[in-house]
Amino acid sequence: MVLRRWLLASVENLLVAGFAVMIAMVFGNVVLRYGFGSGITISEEVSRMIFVWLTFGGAFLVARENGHLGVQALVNKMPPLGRLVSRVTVELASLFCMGLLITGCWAQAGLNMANPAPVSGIPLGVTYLAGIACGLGIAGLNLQRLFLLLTGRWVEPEPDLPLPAPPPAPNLGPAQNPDRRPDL
Amino acid sequence: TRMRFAHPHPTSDSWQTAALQFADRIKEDTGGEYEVQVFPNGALGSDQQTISAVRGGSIDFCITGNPFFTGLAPVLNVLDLPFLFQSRAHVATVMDGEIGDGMRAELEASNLRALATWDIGWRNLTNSRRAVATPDDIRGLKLRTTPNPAHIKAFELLGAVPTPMAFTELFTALETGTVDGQENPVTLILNARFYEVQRHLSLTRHAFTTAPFCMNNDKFAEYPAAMQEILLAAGRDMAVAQRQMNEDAEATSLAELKSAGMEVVEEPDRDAFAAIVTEAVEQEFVAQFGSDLLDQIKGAAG
Amino acid sequence: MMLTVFLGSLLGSMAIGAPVAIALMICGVALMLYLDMFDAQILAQNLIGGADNFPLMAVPFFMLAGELMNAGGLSRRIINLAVAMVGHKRGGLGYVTIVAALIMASISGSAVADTAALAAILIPMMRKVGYNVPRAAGLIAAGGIIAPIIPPSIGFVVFGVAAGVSITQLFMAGIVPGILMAVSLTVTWWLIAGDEPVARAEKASGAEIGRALWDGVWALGMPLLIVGGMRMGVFTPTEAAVVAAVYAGFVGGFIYRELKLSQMREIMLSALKTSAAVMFLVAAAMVSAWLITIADIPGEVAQLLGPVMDSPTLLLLVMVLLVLVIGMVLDFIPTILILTPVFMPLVKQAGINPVYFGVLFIMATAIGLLTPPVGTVINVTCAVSRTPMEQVIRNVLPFLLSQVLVLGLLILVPELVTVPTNWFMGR
Ligand code: NA
Ligand code: NA
Repeated sequence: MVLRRWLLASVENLLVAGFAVMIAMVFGNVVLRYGFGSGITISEEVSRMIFVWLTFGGAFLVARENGHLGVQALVNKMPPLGRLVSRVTVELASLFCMGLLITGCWAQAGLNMANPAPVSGIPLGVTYLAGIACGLGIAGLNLQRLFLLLTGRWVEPEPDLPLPAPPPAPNLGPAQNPDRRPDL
Repeated sequence: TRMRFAHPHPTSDSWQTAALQFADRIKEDTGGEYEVQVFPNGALGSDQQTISAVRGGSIDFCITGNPFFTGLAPVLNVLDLPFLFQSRAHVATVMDGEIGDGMRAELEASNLRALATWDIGWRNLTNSRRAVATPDDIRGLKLRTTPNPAHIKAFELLGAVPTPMAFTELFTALETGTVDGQENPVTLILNARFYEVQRHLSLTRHAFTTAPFCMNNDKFAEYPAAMQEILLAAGRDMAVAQRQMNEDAEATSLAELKSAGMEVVEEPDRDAFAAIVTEAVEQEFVAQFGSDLLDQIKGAAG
Repeated sequence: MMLTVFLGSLLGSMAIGAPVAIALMICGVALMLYLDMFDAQILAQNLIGGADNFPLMAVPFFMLAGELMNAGGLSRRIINLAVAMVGHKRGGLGYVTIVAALIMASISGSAVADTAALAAILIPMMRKVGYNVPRAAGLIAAGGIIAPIIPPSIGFVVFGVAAGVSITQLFMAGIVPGILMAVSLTVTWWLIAGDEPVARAEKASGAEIGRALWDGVWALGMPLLIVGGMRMGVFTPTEAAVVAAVYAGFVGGFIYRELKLSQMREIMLSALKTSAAVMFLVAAAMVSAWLITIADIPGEVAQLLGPVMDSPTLLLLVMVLLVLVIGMVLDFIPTILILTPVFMPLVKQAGINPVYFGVLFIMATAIGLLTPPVGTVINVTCAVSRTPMEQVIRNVLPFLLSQVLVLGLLILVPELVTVPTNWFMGR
């Protein structure tokens, strides 16, 4: 349990650090171009590689929280058996797609590990490793959910709204009509 | 059997015409057994993506500029050295002959079979600031270059600020002035409508860009000898035809760019540019790969 | 037939609750099988290649900018300023909402984030002074969808990349239509809510307005920085996004001093996850888009549309109606991603200006954020205002209709988009 929390925090920290480097590179390029008449030539290549990793690393974190966009309206109206069958089918389909992602990325990573990017020299295959990592992660989640579904231990997740932290409301003075209910 | 051919250029480009002719030729020579479907405009992915798809086998043919292949076969960098080719006849001698065969064979290790080498053309400089006739005129210009190390180095030597940028972002960057200029063949300057946002064109011809026309090497090897010969012959013949089409297109494109209002410096001081960049950039190449290949190419100039 | 495979696999897997990204991959797999070219590398290459894209980096940067604005107090100051300016008018907080939505739209790229911020601040204020809360929620929701029309806009970034259209031009083209949306909301609010029997705020004195303006000037500098910087060629849209994020962080942290360094990890992580969810969808859509191209589904659609193809206006009308219908059941980004590869070849064939089309398309897609059953902006306003969904939907209707009217006007008078675009681009 402790190990798992530590691993998760490490992944998150790595991704946040990557995000910071990406910001520094793209922003630094603007500053250098206008302030000093030069540029970071590797900025475009390296920031794009980080971006691929952020996308697929982040996609795993989102999948962990059941946060990927989907339509649940129909499934929620189904009888329990239909719902179970749907859920299991979805996990299996996702598992299959992740299998394709992993094998496809494996092949492409192999082809491109000896294909260095022109400026930075970093192998282009590095981006495909992000696909493998994400595929393995999400496939693991799929297996875990299948296990829970098939052993009857699955708990329907609460729908999570993509709410950013609301800013504090300004104070307008004392309430004039605090108990007024919305007109129904 | 259906085969798929992907390239990044627009349908008005000679690549599309040549690709369609290649498709007709294959259909004819195989008695209709093979049909080639052409996907222009990068519809099947970016340059790197289509190369990779051909290597992996999900697309049959691709063509794109030599700089996208130099990661796989670094010695191909020689072709992008500044002021290397003297004329199109020089290009034809090198690329259609044994030297070209040797360079195309370099790609086999990456599971690519280059059937022939087509061309993109002479690279010329455009910008929105001033007419460029001498190296001094380039100093301080923010120029978008390809990520090719030789190109970046050459423009640094000329005192420009090389700004690598995706081609897809280039038009707007030129329009709003994020970069002052760029360098590409006149056919592309016309097709990409850069004349709408660039005032000055200078026929610097500072490099010539070739384009390996590739298919998957394993797939190629599996074909019977007769089919291999059909593919090779069609690729080779189309290389000659496409080169001619491009040469004609360069002349008409230039005329169109002029009538669209671009101010053209037809004879900039190329010797002065070459004096600054050629040796310095060549030295870096020679230090890495020796001078044999470079000397052979230079020796083929008529 | 190809169209049937495409729609069947996509809608079928979504109906049983598959995440849209997975449904798009399944749709790709179905098309591969049907075309007899099954290959895991096609899926892998397009997924990775879809994310390996410099212009799309604007997505995480704009997301981060939005989060920093809310946490750093920029959003609140903008609303304060709007209150000082128009809060005293009859139905004043409604106009405040519209003005604030317009300014926020010129700073933030996402309708959902904008609506959440507007609702979180304005609903309590409006409830306190006795406004009809469901009606207020309807207005806030409709105001929130101006965000993807006025630059910056994540919708335009995603469309621009998927369609190969200049993002800067799309941004400039969205300015006037976005303002028209705000005008139409103002008229509608004036018509239906002018008689709200509520206490009004006292008219702010010149000094108070001055103070609110001075306090908000750093926040107001942001739209000028973004649009001006792109227009003057100081940076590309992607770079504008990163500049916006750095600027919001700087103002929130050093000028307003509301942003703590200790918050940064959470804020960045949150922006990162939101944008990864969007980007995963974008990447998955590249898989189906690749196969849509190979299978020539746009050709099949063009044949179906037959006679409509000869009239650009009619074609636009059909496409916009289709978007409005699909937008009911599909969320914002998926609608853009699924329809762009199908529509763009038709748009080119009919000779419609792609930038102009992009504006209509994104506006129609944004209206889908207000329509049931899947309307994310509606969900957010319901949650924040604690009002039942049905009531908000009933109350958003007049505002939604006024925005559909604007859309119709833009179809009939394309110059409303094209002329200002050329002016902003300096042509
Ligand atoms: Na916006
Ligand atoms: Na909807």
